[in-house]
Amino acid sequence: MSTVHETGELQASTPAAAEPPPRPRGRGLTLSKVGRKAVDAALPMSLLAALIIGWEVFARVAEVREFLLPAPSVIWTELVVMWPVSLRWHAWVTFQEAAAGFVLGCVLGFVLAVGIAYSKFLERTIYPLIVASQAVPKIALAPLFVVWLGFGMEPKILVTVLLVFFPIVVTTVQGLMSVDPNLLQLMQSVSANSWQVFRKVRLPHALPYLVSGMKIGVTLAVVGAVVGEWVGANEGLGYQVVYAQSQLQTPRVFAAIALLVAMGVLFFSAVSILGKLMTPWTREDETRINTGL
Amino acid sequence: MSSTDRFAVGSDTAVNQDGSDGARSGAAARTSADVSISLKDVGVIYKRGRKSDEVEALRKTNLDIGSREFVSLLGPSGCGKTTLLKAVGGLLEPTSGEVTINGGSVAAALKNRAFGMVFQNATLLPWRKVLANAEFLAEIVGDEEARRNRVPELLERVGLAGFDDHYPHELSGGMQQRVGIVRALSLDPDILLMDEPFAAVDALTRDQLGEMLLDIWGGGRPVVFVTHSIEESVFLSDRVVVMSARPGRVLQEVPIELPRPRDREMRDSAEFAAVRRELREIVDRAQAGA
Repeated sequence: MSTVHETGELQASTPAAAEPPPRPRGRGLTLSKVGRKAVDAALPMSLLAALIIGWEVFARVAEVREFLLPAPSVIWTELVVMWPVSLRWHAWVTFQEAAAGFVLGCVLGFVLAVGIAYSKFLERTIYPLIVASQAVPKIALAPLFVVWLGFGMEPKILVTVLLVFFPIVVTTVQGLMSVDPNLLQLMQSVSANSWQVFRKVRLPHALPYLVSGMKIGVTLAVVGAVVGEWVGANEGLGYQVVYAQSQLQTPRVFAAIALLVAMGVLFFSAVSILGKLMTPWTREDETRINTGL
Repeated sequence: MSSTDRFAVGSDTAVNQDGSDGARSGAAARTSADVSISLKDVGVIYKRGRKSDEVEALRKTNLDIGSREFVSLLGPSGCGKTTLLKAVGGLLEPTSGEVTINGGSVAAALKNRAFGMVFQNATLLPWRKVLANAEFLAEIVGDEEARRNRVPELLERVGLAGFDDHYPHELSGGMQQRVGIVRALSLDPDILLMDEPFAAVDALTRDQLGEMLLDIWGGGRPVVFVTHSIEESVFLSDRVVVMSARPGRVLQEVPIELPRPRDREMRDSAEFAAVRRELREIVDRAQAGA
C-alpha cells in the first residue's frame, strides 16, 4: 500500500532537477521534421503523377475515343482554353455557393450545439430530431429547394448548409459536454458565473472538436453546391458537368471535375490552417487521432 | 503582515485564523476557537432513481480539523474519502448532518473563496500555458494582486521558474501537478483540499511533491489530504483519519507525532518506520474489525 522509497543518488539532487525534463519543443528537430514532411507529401504526389502518366499512355496507345476517356493532356488543354472564356466564371459561382453554405452551416451548427449543450429541453427535443434527420437523403430535397427558392444560388447554399451543419453540431456538442467535472468544480469553488465557465472553460475545450467538425463539414461543402446545381442551374461547375455531358464534351466534364477537386483541396487546406490558428495548443498527432483527418 | 507570508517556510511566521500566533496546536490539544472545519453527524447518500439504487457513501461522520492542521483521509477506494472532501468544500450537499467552516456555513466559506482545490489529475487547461494556468483563478475573480505577485512567487517556490511559456502537455505529470498546487494557492485560500493529488505520478516524483507540499504549506492553514498511501499520510500529516468502505465511515483517528519540519532524511529514520508500521497495524486491525 505504501510506496517504496529509494535511497540512491537522487537524494542529493533538488526535487525539480530529479524530475524528468520537459519534452523538447521541437525546435531541435526542425530539420528532420521538415524532411519527414517532404517525404510524406512526395509519396502520394508521385503515385498521383504515375497514375496520370499511365492514363495518358493508355489513352494514346489504346486510341480511346475522346468522348469516352480523354487523355489528361487533352483535359489540360480544354482547361487552359476554357478557363478565361467560361470556366473561371462557373468556378467562382460554385466557390461562392460552397463557401457561403459552409460558413452558414458552421454558424448554424455552432449555435445549435451551444443550445443543446446548455438546455436539457433542446437536448431532448431537437437533438434526437437532428440525428434522425440524417436518415433523410438531403440531396433528394434539392429539387424541392429549387421549387421554393428558384434557380439562383439560394437552393445550392441551402443544400450545402444542410450537409455541413450536422458534423459541426455533433462534434461541438461533444466538446462542450466533455469538460472534466473537476474543472467545473474548480470553477464552482471560486463562484465563477456561467458566462465565465462558458467563455474560459467550455468554449476553448470545445474548439478542437469544432475544428474536427469543420474538417468533416468542409469536404461536404463542394458536394452540396454541385448537387444543388445538378438539379436546376444555369451556371456553376456542377451545371457545367451536366451540360457538357449532354453535349458529349467529355474533356469539359473532366476539366470541371478537376476544378472541383482543386476547390475541395483548397477549402480543406484553408480550414486546416484556420483550425491550427484557432487551436494553437494542439499537437498534430493529437488532432489526427481525434478526427481521423 | 502581507498575505503572502502565510505560506512561508516554518510555522512561526504564519497567522492563525483567529489572529493568535504561538505554537501549532497538536491534535490532542485543540480549543474550539482553533477548529477550522467541523463535521457533525455528516451522512451522504447518493440517489440514483429507485430506492434500491441508493448508495450510502458516508455514514454519521464526526470530525474536527484544527486551523493549522494537516489531516489525511486514508482508506481504500470507495470509502467515501472524496465524498467527505466534497462535502467540506461545498461541492455536494450532505444528506444529513452539518459541516461548518470557521464557525460559519460552507456556502459562506465558498463565497469567501475559502477553498483551494487540488485533484488527482492536475486538470490544467491545455490551451493555456503554465503562467496563464497558474493565474487562471486570479483572472476569474479579478485579483490583480495575486496575479502580479503571488502567482510568480509561488511558481518560483515550486521550482517552475522559467516554465511560464510551456504548454501543460510539455511538462511531466509531477510538474503539471505543481502548477495545479500553485493555482490552488493563488487566491490564498483558508483551507487546502487535496484529492489524491499525487496518485497519478511515479513513486520518486510523489516523494518529491510531498516534500515540496510541506515546504510550501508551512503550517499556515489546514489541509485535508485524501490518499490511499500509508507512507504518504505518515510523512505529511499531523493526524491520519482511517476510513472504511460500504458505507464510508471513520474507523479511527491516529495522531502522527513526528517532529517538523520533516524532510527527506526523516523518511529513512527508525522513528518514521516505527510510526508507519504502527499505522499499518492500526489500519489492518481496523479493517479486519470493520
